[in-house]
Amino acid sequence: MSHELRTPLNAIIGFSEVLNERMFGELNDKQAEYVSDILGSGRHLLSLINDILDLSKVEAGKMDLDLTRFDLSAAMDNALTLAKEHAGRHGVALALDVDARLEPFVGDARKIKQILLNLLSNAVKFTPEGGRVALRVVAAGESVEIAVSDTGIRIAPEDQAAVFEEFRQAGTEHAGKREGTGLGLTLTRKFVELHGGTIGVQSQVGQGSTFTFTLPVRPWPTS
Amino acid sequence: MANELILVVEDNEKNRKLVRDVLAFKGYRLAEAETGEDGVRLARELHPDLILMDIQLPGINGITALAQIREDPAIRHIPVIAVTASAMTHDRQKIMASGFDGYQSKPINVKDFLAAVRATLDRP
Repeated sequence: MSHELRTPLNAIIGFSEVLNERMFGELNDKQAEYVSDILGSGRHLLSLINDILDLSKVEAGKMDLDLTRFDLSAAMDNALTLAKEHAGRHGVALALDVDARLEPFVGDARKIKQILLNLLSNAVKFTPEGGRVALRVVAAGESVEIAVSDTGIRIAPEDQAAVFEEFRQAGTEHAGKREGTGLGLTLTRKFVELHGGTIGVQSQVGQGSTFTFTLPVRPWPTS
Repeated sequence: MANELILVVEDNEKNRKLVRDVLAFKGYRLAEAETGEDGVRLARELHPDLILMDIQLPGINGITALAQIREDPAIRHIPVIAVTASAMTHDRQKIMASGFDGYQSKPINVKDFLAAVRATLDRP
């Protein structure tokens, strides 16, 4: 199904990129604005399709873990680097705190990267300028515990479970920030659970929010 | 100036137009095929500098077409980039394991696409 859904988007996104690059001539202001809107919406639709395809695969039980042994602290550093540009634009500082006892980790590196990027991108998005987002990992024996905390908006207790549901965002005061697909946290939770871990959120007035997830430590080789 | 000949194997007319227009804008010469069979035939006939190969095609698919190209000593050296709308990780791994010289997922990013074409042509 992926092929059928993505093929028409190639023309929508591709031709709007060509126009946006002024490859075949200038656009007037209104045309430039519309082209940029088509491009933005096309890219948004692509993210949505990718997330829905991933989610339906998880729900059909067809999403497998591709286990490798990798350096988790390097993966976190990498995710932080990728979030840097986004954070810079929002005027948000990033910090990393890695437990020195952390050993090479066995997990699905691509999914863990997506988990980290989703949480970091959410944290940056909902943190006002001048705020701070911190990524922390602690080796806790049988599992590792990773936390993404921000100094952003508070998530009310009654909304804290709902943020993991599909197409839900807590509260209404930041309706204008709904730039995501509404599936990021749902997929994040599914990817954590595929690993056999859990995820939750804590949020208090004046302290922002902290999303914490655990991933069990697996033996290597896995069999 | 970029005037290399690029063979585009793609069954979707609009996608062919997009690739044709951006490559022509950069000065490349183009040849086009709508099926894998025609793609292999044109490769033998024209000896292009680069082939852009869709994977899901009517008739033989892009992976089979690549295998036929690699079996023919006269054209086996031509670099072939897979351009495909199946973006799932295992698809990508399968495609790269078939021996393509590069991979571009659809929807393409025009700038990255042109950069990948140039880089593949410049590869010694």
